[in-house]
Amino acid sequence: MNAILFDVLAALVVAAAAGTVVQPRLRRAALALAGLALAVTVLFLSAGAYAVGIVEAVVALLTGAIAWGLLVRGRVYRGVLEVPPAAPRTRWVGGAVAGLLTLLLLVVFALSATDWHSGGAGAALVTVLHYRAVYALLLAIALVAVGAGVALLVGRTSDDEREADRAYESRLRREERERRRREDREAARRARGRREGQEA
Amino acid sequence: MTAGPGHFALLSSLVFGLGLFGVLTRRDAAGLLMSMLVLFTAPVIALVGFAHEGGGSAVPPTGDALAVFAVVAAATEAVAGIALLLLLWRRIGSGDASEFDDIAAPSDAEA
Repeated sequence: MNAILFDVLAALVVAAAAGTVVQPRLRRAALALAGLALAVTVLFLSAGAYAVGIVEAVVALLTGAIAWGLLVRGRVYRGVLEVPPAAPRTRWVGGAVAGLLTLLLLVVFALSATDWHSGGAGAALVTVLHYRAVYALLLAIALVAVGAGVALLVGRTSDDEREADRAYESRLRREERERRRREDREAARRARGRREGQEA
Repeated sequence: MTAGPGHFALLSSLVFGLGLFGVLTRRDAAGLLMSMLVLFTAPVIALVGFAHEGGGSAVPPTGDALAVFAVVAAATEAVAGIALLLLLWRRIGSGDASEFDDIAAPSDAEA
């Protein structure tokens, strides 16, 4: 892979990751996360990992669609995204711990430089599943099924809760209608005032 | 000049560090979840780099399979995390992770 192309994509990946982590507003952080998924997909495709790139894009799209459908479109849960950003109390502690662990990871990478791929002197990282790629894919499929099952189990709602959600949703709709009506009335009153002022 | 596995290792470490920083400092549950997704991106970058730019006799499909597995694991975590977030929102009406501590309070009192 071309080093310049890698540097550009790596800068984009780091910037998007930093944006996701540091941005206090959740909507902007979600946009940064989408940017990260896009940059990582392009990086994988550029490195020749076409299958991983396509899977990354598809998975990011599906996960994003689920999150958008539940959190943005569904009025009931919209409040989850409107939580005011909390001021992190222990930013410097988190920064120090993350920095130390990143340094440790870099040292491990540097010390095991000959074991990154099969053909090195020691155990190769990519031989973890004993060259049985199909096992990894089957495990991934099983994981998707289990994950979906767990998500449905955790997120399931009872009849009472669904009824309460419907009532809450209709209340939100009613309040929005009333707000719009109030704003229209206010705008009409202002326009009338201006007209009367001009006539006088 | 080409990018080797060392470049991917460095990028993976940086993304790991940023994700960890987010997990340790964010208090809003949705932000915490997004930081975890950043964290989970790091090993995928390393796997792809090692498999495709390794320069050894690595078989790319094996590295790719592991990377796909990691991507799917991250997505599963995200979906389960969203479900958990919605459940907690429904229960306590807040997305502030620091308030989740109170959920354990009644059982502690009973004990």
